[in-house]
Amino acid sequence: MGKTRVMIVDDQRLARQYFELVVASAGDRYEVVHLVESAVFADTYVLRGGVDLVLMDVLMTDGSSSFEAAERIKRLKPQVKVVMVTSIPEASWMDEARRRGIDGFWYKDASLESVLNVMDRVVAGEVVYPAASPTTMVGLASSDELTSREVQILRALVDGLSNEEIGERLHMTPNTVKTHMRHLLEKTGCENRTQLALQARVSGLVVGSTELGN
Amino acid sequence: MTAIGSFGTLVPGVLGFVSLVLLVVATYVLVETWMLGLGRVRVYSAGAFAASLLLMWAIDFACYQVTNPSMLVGPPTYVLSVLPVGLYVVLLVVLIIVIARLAMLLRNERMARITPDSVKEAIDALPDGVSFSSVDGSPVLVNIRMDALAHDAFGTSLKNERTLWGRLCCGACNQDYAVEDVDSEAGRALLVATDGRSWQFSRRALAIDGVELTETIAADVTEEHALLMQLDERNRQMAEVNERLRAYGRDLVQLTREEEALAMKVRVHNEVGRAMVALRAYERQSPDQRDREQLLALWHRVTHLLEDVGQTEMIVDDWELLCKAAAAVDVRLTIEGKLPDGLAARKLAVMVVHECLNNAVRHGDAHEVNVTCVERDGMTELTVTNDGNMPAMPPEETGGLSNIRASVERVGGMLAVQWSPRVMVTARYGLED
Repeated sequence: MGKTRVMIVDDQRLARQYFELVVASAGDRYEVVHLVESAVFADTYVLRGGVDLVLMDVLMTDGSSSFEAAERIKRLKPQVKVVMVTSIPEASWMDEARRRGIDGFWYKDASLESVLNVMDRVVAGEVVYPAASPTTMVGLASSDELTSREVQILRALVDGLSNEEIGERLHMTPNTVKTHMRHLLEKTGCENRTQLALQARVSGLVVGSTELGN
Repeated sequence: MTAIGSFGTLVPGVLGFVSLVLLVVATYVLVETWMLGLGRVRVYSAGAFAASLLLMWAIDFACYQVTNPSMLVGPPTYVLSVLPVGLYVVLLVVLIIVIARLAMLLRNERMARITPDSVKEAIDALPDGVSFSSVDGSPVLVNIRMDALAHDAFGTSLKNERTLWGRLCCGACNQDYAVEDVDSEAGRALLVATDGRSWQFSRRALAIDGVELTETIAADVTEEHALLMQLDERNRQMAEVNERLRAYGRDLVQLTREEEALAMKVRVHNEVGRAMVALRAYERQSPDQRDREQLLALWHRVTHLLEDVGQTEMIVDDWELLCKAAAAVDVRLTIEGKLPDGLAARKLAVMVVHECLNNAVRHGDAHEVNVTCVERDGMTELTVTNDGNMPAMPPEETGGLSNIRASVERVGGMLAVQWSPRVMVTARYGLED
């Protein structure tokens, strides 16, 4: 059996080279064929079938969306395996990756498994995701204590939306948003929504949609 | 029963006086009810008046008969003088009750009736300015507040409503006032005094009993306007905070990336340390135990890493990235002319070429993609061809191609796809940053 051909997509040179080193340390199992700086054209690289596995960072600062790129790759070449990697514990990203049919997800700092293990299992045909996104603290509250609805509201809050705009985005009334906001303030101990938004963003639990290239 | 004539002059005199007073009151009630046009009450008043007159006449004649017995007028007056006094008293009491009741009805009617004076009095008491004027602007009814407001803000009392509205719409008011939010079509304008008092002027046409009138109201909205100003200020502050939050988010992304880079550097440092330990171990090992190839491979990886650690990330242009991607799939990407300078127009051009490149490789196994880009009449005209195999029949336009068509058409451009004699995609659009 030949080597698994790996494409590394990360906008940081050092990260690309680190992953290259990790892949090289696996000996004859893997071979890095492309180091790509942006997700935006990543789908083109797989067209001629020269790639078996893609390691792709979630957060690209050039505005390209890694999730969209990964989904395009899976649509063009379903046999190509894709593993998303990130160091940010954003609560929704694992769900987003699952929804788009991505094969594996790895947290750079918090995952118990090494990225090589995840790569091996994904190449073997498994779909490998951590049991849960890493727990993080938002003010006094642990991310486990927040409901999915509250996390959605936090994400909209980090995008700088008003209650009315949050209501429109999440299909709820401004009064319902206010109620959720009050619960969030009580849970986190934050004094106001600005502090809450800052705490939520600093914790990494939520990342603004504009930061993801969406 | 004792006849009235038996009491001498005192009792008939008192009864006569009472009947006279009753007649005066009945006359007043009759006149008022006729003036107010009170229907059946007028008939009752007339009856009460007639009864009062007859009773007074009867008592007078009875008295006359008593005081001048020698001057007998005739049997009727005699009869009146011998009638019992109780009958007169009862008749008087009944008449008093009837006339009192009529007087009460009259009073109630007057209380309930709205007269022009009462209308004026009522609108003068309003805190808001109100005026009604004819179509030519002549005032029909103006309250004190509106008049005072016109005087204060425009230096004259309300002499013509159209003139006042014209001055309001063009903001021709005294220096202590300002006009805001004028909507002459909707008939609305806001007058704000420097001391904070505010009036919302609204104007509408009315037709009352076939007469066309213009109603103008100046509602005192001082409190509401102050609250609105506070709300605007808060919204402005909120928008500033939200913008700062977004900027903070961007900074935080950078910070996160720097943290990631630091973590990577730590890992690189660890790799170097591991290589050093391996080197020391190698030196301590006897020659037959040494694995030179393994040590060399480890150091090769470490030195490769260290070569780039100090280098800064180069910002790479989208077009260069696309050329690199094309080269990776063995496609030569060429361009004749140059891509648009504007960021948005350039991004759209690269997006179109990217999709064409993908389609050329997927469906035509192309190895050369040629782009022609010209600026004509402020529009970008982009043509993409390839050397790939011809499709047997035009493929269905789905996915990427339909997406770029939507993107081009969204900015008012057009996208044309020609399938023969070779595949050629042309996009034409004008897009400014």
